[in-house]
Amino acid sequence: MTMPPVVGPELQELLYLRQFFYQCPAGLFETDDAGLVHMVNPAAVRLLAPVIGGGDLSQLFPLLRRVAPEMVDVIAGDPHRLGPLAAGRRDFREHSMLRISSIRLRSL
Amino acid sequence: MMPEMNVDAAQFADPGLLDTLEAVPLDGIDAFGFGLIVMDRDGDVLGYNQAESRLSGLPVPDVTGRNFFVEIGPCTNNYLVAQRFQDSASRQEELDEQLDYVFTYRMAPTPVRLRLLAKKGSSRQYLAVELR
Repeated sequence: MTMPPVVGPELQELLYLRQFFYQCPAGLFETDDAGLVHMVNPAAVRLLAPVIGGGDLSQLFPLLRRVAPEMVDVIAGDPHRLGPLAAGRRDFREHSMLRISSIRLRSL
Repeated sequence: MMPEMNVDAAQFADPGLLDTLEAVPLDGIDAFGFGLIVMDRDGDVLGYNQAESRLSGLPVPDVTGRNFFVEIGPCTNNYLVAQRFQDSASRQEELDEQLDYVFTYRMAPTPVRLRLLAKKGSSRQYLAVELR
């Protein structure tokens, strides 16, 4: 089934939502249960580039194993658990601190 | 005397790329096969070529005149990219450095190679982008 094209005010809402995601100052990843990254916003790259360099960002779990390894088990654990999985986990680095939260949403 | 330019054949890694860029007018940047953003020394976009527009999905008129590091490519607003341009401007030093990076074209993590270029004393600076 082909989805009808989004036009008019609905298109504007979608573009605005995308702009909000794009400009959000907090880093955001959207992944599947296996950690494959579907979406990432610029703030995530800006914040994590010093950690990953030019490394791969298509998989979240290898990155998490470097900065917050216990979160991999939390996220990859019970796939039926919805809502916040981990909130405000802090990772202190040499000159900065990363605060990491995870939430699972129901698939649309 | 400037060497004769062949912009069509100019490659991302050409040793003389900075001199070529300095000599090319803004309406000639679509000839480059790699992504190219031309900025003033504050990061405001003067030119955005078609190769970069195709990669990002952003129409050229939507980008021109906006600050690249704040509005267009905020993933580069850190010490690895934006700060290097700023340092070269404030120290009046030439900049020609390459690094591997990740862009977020259409929200997808995209591995790229960046080349940061600025001629000492020039009013322009350049970010060249190539997919890895």
